[in-house]
Amino acid sequence: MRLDPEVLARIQFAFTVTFHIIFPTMSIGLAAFLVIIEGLWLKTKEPVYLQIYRFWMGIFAMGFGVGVVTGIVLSFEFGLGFAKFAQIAGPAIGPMIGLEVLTAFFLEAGFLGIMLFGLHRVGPKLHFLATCMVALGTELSASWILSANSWMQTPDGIAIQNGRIVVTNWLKVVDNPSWLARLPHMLMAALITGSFFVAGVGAWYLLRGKHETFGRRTVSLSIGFATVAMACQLFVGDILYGTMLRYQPSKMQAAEGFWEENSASPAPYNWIIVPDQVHQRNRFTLRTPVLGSIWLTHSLSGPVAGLKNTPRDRQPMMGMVFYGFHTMFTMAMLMFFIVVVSLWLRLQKRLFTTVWFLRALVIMTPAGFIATIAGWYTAETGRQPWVIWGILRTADAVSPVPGSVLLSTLIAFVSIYGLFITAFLVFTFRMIRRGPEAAPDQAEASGSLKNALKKQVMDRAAVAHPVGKE
Amino acid sequence: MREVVRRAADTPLGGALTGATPFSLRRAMGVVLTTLLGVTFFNALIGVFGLPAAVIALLLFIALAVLIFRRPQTERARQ
Repeated sequence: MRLDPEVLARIQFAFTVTFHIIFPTMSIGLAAFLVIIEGLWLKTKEPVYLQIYRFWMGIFAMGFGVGVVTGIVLSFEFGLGFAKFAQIAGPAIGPMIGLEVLTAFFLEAGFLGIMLFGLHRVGPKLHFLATCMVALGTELSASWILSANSWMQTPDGIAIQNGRIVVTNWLKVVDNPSWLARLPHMLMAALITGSFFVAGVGAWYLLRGKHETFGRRTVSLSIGFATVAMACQLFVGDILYGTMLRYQPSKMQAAEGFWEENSASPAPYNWIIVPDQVHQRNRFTLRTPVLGSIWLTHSLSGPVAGLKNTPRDRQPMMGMVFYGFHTMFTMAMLMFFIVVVSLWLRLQKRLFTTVWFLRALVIMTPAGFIATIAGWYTAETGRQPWVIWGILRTADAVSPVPGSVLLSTLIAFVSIYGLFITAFLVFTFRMIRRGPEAAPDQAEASGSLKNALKKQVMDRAAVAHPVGKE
Repeated sequence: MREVVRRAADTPLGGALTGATPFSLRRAMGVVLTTLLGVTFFNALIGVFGLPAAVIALLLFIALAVLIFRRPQTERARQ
């Protein structure tokens, strides 16, 4: 059997980056939430805020740790799977990733120690500053990575000399045409993801009739946070759509599932398609008439451009882009529905007492993660066949290594990441099941990893630090 | 119907459910109005009515959310 290095390198990077993106998204969202919670605690001195802070700080710390470890692997994969990309694009991408480490990682890592271990060792204001700095660090980190990735989507500020990229204008490399549209979209996605995660856990406590003060406060704050973020997300999402339509038309043509150069007028909106890339047509479509014109062209009869406008050898795979985009968009609609319902229930004073809504919140706990991953699939599969848009094809960027090397490392990554996710989920579910009262004041050494999960270890923490008990 | 209500009351929040949600025309109208408002805001925010309308919708939605957020909530209808 012949192992295609290009396919394996892509599968490997897709797997590791899909796994990785879950954790920074969660970290950015939770860090912002922790800033608000600690700010409220400082302002009101209500113990429940400290309890919420302590509980979510533990989960944040675990997510942060896994995010860092899985992020480091990605840098090595540039060499392992995409050495030619690293060689050609290194002068532009390398400094940005280096700057991420310098400006964001160092900031996060330095203040994370105070945040995790210093709750009663430094003053409350200094601790709050540490939380703010960690949150700022997560956002700075995202902005550098988004800048690097956006440069791959819409490269600018460079010249090609002797087959290599030479930077001619650093400002244009960093502030490339899609960066300022993609950055707020990603940050909002992280805030929404964190909010729905927190809301789901709070709703679960309310449904079980446990830790109700904690549950009510977390549901109220997180869904309120999500309401504002969701509205902002729809707004910036539309601006990003326009930007991508301008700079990467083939991506958006594939995302909407139209083949012909111009669709019918008025255009329908495609919900489900079975695309046939070879014959450049859809075998099946489920659509709503006129809605395509309204949503995509903001008119009642505007036609939508299809993928045949792009030469075949420059087309992305429609199915991947279409379903990535539509999964993200469907999740966004569901989340917007939830936040609108939350406003209505709040108006009726029934936010904490409507069982079906609380159940919906629990079901929607992973909604933000699903939408974020789907959004990244749209961005990355829609850029194909390019790794650097219009400059370097993915097929030409792959390392000259045998397929067996990539396969064996892929198997190793799947095994190790499987252990990571299992450990993360086991610890997180146990922390959630034990409840906020078991959350220690600050991170404490338990003696050994073997003992860390034992009931008496968690209970000891609860007895030692009873602050904020209901 | 009574059986459904009784079963709902057995859940931890069931008392709240039974005590707070009798069906009424007013509530049905509230659902319809909320749906219409939600659909209008959604379309405005994704730019269907143009950028200025999207900006206004965003500010209006956030202001509305902040105003409603301050409303005190029923914690439990039945202890």
